[in-house]
Formats: sequence, structure tokens, C-alpha cells
Amino acid sequence: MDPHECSEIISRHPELILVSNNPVTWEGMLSVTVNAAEKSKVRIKLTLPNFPALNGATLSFGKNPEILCHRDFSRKSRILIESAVTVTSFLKQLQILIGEALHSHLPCLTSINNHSIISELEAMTHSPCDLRLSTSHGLNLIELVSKNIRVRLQRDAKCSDTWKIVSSDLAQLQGCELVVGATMSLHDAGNKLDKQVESLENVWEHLKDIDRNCWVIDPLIPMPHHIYRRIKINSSLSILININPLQPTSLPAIKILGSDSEVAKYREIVSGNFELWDPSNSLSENLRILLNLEEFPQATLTKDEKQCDSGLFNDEECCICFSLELNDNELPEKVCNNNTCRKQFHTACLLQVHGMATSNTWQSSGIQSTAWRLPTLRAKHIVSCRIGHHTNCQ
Amino acid sequence: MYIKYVNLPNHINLGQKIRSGRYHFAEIVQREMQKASRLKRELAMMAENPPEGICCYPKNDKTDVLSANILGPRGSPYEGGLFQLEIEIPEIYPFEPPRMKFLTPVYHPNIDDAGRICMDLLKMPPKGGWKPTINIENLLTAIQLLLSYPNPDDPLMAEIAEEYRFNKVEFERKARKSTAENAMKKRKYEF
Repeated sequence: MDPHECSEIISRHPELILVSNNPVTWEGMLSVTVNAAEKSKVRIKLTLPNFPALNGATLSFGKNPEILCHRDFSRKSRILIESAVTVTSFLKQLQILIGEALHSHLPCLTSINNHSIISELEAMTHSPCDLRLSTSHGLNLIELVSKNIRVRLQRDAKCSDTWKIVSSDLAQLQGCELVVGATMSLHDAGNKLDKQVESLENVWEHLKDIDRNCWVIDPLIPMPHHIYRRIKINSSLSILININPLQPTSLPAIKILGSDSEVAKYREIVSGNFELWDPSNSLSENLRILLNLEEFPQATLTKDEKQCDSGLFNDEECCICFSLELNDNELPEKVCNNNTCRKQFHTACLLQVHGMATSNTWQSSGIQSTAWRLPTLRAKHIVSCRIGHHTNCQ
Repeated sequence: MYIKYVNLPNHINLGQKIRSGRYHFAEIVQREMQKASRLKRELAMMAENPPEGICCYPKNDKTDVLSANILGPRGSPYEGGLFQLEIEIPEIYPFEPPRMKFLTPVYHPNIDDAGRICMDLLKMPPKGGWKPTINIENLLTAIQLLLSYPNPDDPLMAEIAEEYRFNKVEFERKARKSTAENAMKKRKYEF
């Protein structure tokens, strides 16, 4: 031990304490001048096995991410340890260095590993996949785009080579691995997206055929990730088809929506025509045959003509909330069973009425009251009919 | 977004539901927005396609209170009168009916001195006939119709109902007088 050096350190840095003699370890706060007005303190721990010489010294910091994440800080401090002659001069230069780092504090990343990301991105741009890449400032967020399908990934805070999906156009697609929250490497994500898009291309062709020939009421604006279509057949009936992405021309999952009588009628027609389905026909042709239609009805109004705020009540709107879309994407799907009424309802709106009906004030009597409480489709139909009995349409 | 304090009727007891964590706050906000969008739509419908002899507009910036005017129907003792109503929209509209009240005094078996209206559609089931599919326009039309055809079987004013039933001439005379005094004077004063 060099008592002179020790007293020198103590006098210059009163908040540094010699916590151990073997190896010599100084621990405590190092005061730092950030700029003319601001002063700060940084917790450090300096271990000097060959005190008073500096070789083999290790320096660690407390919770000071700002300086740790500064680009050149760790390199510079290492050079400092190697070049400094005495501990006091080292500490003096360290003070300046930390001050500079805090002063030019930039929003940098923790655990800097940008090189690996850049090389990963580079590898992806050279890969045969037809992908477009874009990234946020700081390489935190990467967006992969293939044929208008976008997937956004965010870097995992702990590990730099796994990425978490934060948004995906294919999230609602069944069996797709690119769901929000999944973690994978960038390379995998790119490959998966490419494969998925390739397999969907065929499906999109068939959906375009549907969009051309039928009156599609849902989705309002078809997007690439929508592989379902709701087709309007008449004022109280629509069918929802969900296409199998693996075999787009095979019989899709069909759901018949509408008033009870119409649904029963068409269910019979459809079940009678199942064997007529021919995978070599186009999807719209097959559907036409399946539903026993001469031709598909066409939309009476184009989308531009339908003004949601207009003073005219639109037949397709829910007559509880008086609007077409509820919670952004729900369309009315219940139709009153009364043929002269045929009013449309959102399931959610009906359930709200249903909830009111079971509350204390709105008690219905007799058989109906049990029907109100049954949370089945059947009960909802009863509700819709009862509500649908409008003063004008009785 | 600014959200005002939502005051719901006791039977819904939303406060308790929120406290117990069963009801999400977002649901109330959603309901408020649903109500606002429906009201906006209803007012647009009435402005663009006004029913005969009826007009309805928001009283002030809030759409929770509306004002409505109904012209006395032709052929009835209320003909020539302009009747003012106040419509209060409840928090859970359209799941609960709006509260409607005549501001202009009306001599009618189903309308009391305070302007309250006894009408099936203005009450909740099972006693009343309110349904969420009914809108304000329907209600105002129904009230207009009620002026033409009073319902003495379900009276709010028993004496007037008796008079309507057994001495219609006298009833009509009084109703006409009341209309001239209240619904027409006001009109002159207003224009």
C-alpha cells in the first residue's frame, strides 16, 4: 500500500472509500461535472489488484445506463485504464470522460449489438425472398413487407437476436405462425412471411373472383389478410364463407346468417347441393350452384353513395345503434324473423338489450323470461323478433 | 379524450360493477359513444326528412337535452297551437326511453299539469312498450297522434278523461280555449 497515494485519493474524492485491501478496491461516488451548470455523481467500483499500478484494474458502475450505453464509453474507459500512470490521474480523466458522456447523452440502445443486427438485415436483403425492409431509428423496430402484407417486429430487450412480433396483417389467419407476441429470429420471420404470402396468392385470386361477382358486405374494404367473405343473398339472408387457404377451390366453411325462416330454407338447399360442388369450377360459380341462384344479386349502392351520416336510414344498419359498424369492424348479422320487418341487428347490441332484460326493471314474464336468459342463438332470435316488432311493422 | 362522470340509474349499478371489476370502464365510454352516434344520426334524419308538424333540435351544446315543437294536429282542438316539449336523453339510451315533457300547458286526459305524458311507448317493459328500435321521431309522431286521439282508458287526468268520454263538446271547448291561451299566445310572443 502506498499511503501517499491513498491520502491523495481520499482528499480528492472524499466519497470514495477503500472497502478492501486485498485486492485494493475503491467504492463510492465519483463527482462529475456534466456542464457549467450541472453536476452529477456516479457510483463506481474500482478494483486494483496491483495497486498503486493500474494494470489489471477493473472498473464497474452502479445503475447508470446513460453512460454505459454511450457508444464509445466502454472502449475509452478501457484505453484510459491502460494509458493512465497513477490512480489519481486515472480518476481525474475518468471524471472528464463521464462528464462528456453525460453531456452528449444520446438516446442509445442498451447492450449495443447493432453490428449483429445490421449483418442480419444484410443477409436478409440478399436472400431470395421478395421482401421490403424498413426500420425505425435505432433499429428497434423492423417492418417486413411482402405484397402489401406487413409484419412488424420489435427487438427483444434481453436478447438481441430474437424478435417479437408487435403487429401482423396475418394475425387473424388460422394456423399462421406470424401472430402478435410470437418471438423468432428475423431470418425466420422473413422466410415464414414469404412462404405464407406465396401460399395465399392462389387464395387471393379466388377471392377476387368472389369480389367481382358477388355483393360482398363484409369485409367493408377487403384486405389481403381477410380470407373470409360475407355475401348478401337477399334482404334477410347472407352467407359467410371462410376459405381454406390450403385448398381454396374446395368447399369452404359456410355459415348461413339471417332470419330463421330464410336460414332454414337455404340450409336445405345448400345441403341438397353439396355434391354438385366441383373444385374445377370457379368459387363464385360453385357458390351460385350451391345456393341454387340464377345470378348473384348486385350491390344497389356503391360504397361512395352510402353516406353513413345521411338522414336516410340504411336498411343494412343496426336499428338499435343506428349505425353499420360497431366497435370498428362488427357488422349487423342478426335479422328479425318477421318477414315484414327484416330489421338488422348487431349481436352485441342485442346482447345489451338482453342484459337489460335480465336486470331488475325489465322483467319479462312467463316463457319469454326464460328465453331471455338463455345465452344461445335461439334466445337471441327470440329477442330480435320481439324487438323487431316495431310500431310500424306490426 | 374528456370523459364526464357517468351517472347511471340505480338498477344498473354500474359503479358497483366497476368496483367489483366485472364491468370495464371502457364499456361505459363505448356506450356513451354509441349513444352519441345514434343521437347524431337521429337528429340528422329529422333535419333532412322532417316529419309533418314536428321539429326537434338540441337545446344547447350538449345533446342530452333536446327541444321539440309539435304543431297541434288538424281537426283536433289543438289545431293552430304550437306545443313545446323538452326531451331528456338518459345515459343508457337507447336501452331506456327518453323522458319527454310538455313545456306548453295542454288540456288533455293523458297529459298532466306538469306536462308529463302518459304514453305506453315512454315506459320501460314489462309495463310499457319501449323498445330500443324506437326513435325520438317515432315518439314525437306518437305524441302528435295522442293529441288527436286521447286515450281516456288510461288517464292521467281523471276529470278530463271523464269529460272527454261523457261531454266531448265541453272538453273540446276547454281544450281549444287552453290552446288559444297557452299555445298560440306563446307563439305570437316568440315570433
